[in-house]
Amino acid sequence: MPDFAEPLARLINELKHLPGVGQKSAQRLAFHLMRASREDAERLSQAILDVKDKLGLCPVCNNISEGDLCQFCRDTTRDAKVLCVVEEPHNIIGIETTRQFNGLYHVLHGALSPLRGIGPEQLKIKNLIERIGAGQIEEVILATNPTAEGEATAVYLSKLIKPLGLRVTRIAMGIPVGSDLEFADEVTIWKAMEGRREM
Amino acid sequence: MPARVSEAIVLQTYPFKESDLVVSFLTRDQGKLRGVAKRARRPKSNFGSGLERLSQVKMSYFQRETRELVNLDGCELIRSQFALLGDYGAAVALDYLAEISEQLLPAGEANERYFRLLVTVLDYLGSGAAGCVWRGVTYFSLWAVRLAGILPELHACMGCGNWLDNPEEREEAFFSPYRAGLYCGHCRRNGEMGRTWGLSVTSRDIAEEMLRKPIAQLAHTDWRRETAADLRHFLVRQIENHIERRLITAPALEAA
Ligand SMILES: [Zn+2]
Repeated sequence: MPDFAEPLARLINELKHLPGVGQKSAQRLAFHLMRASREDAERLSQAILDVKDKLGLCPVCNNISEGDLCQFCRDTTRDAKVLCVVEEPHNIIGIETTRQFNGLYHVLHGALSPLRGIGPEQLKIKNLIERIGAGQIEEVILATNPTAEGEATAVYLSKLIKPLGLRVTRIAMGIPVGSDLEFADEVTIWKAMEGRREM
Repeated sequence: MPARVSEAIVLQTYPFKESDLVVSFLTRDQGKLRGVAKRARRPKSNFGSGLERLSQVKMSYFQRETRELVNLDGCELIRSQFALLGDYGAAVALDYLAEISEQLLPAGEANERYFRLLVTVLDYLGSGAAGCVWRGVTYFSLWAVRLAGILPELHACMGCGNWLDNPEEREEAFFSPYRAGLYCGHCRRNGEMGRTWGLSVTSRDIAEEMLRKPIAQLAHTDWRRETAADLRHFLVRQIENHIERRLITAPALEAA
């Protein structure tokens, strides 16, 4: 590795900690920032600090929030009877862009994965059960990822929630729109058949 | 080096860059390899559900002598473990199998018998027989330790060399986290062994039978969590001593 001046080397090193950024990308970004105006650099560093200082987790749904409750929990026009459970806060964005869902969310902050040291205690399951216990919720949609970890988490949660007398549903898994059945593997087709609907 | 197709079992994946995965997989013919599966996390990838852990696949990849990571082109699913996920205990057992294989096997060394062991145990877990998770993981642990060449003598005391299985007076054996192998009660009392755990006569008999018979033919059928739990503990300790770290799935398995 070439010898950079200490402040530059330090910046490159910090950037390398970001996901998907290797030595080369870090150098490119660092040189870009070095040439940028002082104002641009300040705006970037302030934006990073604001994310740390001004954002927290919503105490109800664990989504990222500015202030106390997040934008969805604050919104009284949303249907509080339906709860959609997702793994990560960014999963909400995907569902919101469809504009097809008007219920509330619950963010688990991960999926069950003993291999990565994540068991039920590491996920936000306790306050999910407490929310359900409060009595307003009638349906829980399990929208964890269609991976082995996401599926194991959904199965685990359904076993906890169903005995409480709620409707528990799982998002459909299967053939991506625009692809050809010929290229789908057996699990994908099996899951698609399982999630079929009346027409 | 040209493109290759190997029968393989996916051990573990790690998110990489925007939508790629780094995949650790065990091939029948080339041993454990690591590769990059480009765009594997996108809905229309060349990998479908094939990269879920312990999927059995035909993996197509490209290996360059100079690179540690191979490039994965795609895979064809032979057998998925998705159906086992309805049972959390079985799901944790899969993680346990994957972690041990990932940790125990050296990279790039073919071990066909180990590959067959994994296929056999996965088949057996898929049978869904009563107690199959406990019987499956115990059998797997024992043979994994044996095929890795780290199974200690089960019949003799490492301290005094006496036979542990003297038919006149068969006794419980002992093991400690700091020493390999088994010790008799006498050496345990006299040696400075720190904390020790027992390995019962019954569990040693089970181990003995498992080393002689295929999993489906074992006489002991009524398997529960308690069955041979001491044997699993002993085997986990042998693995942990060898890899010099703790297995994170072992406590999760016993608690599941
Ligand atoms: Zn909220």
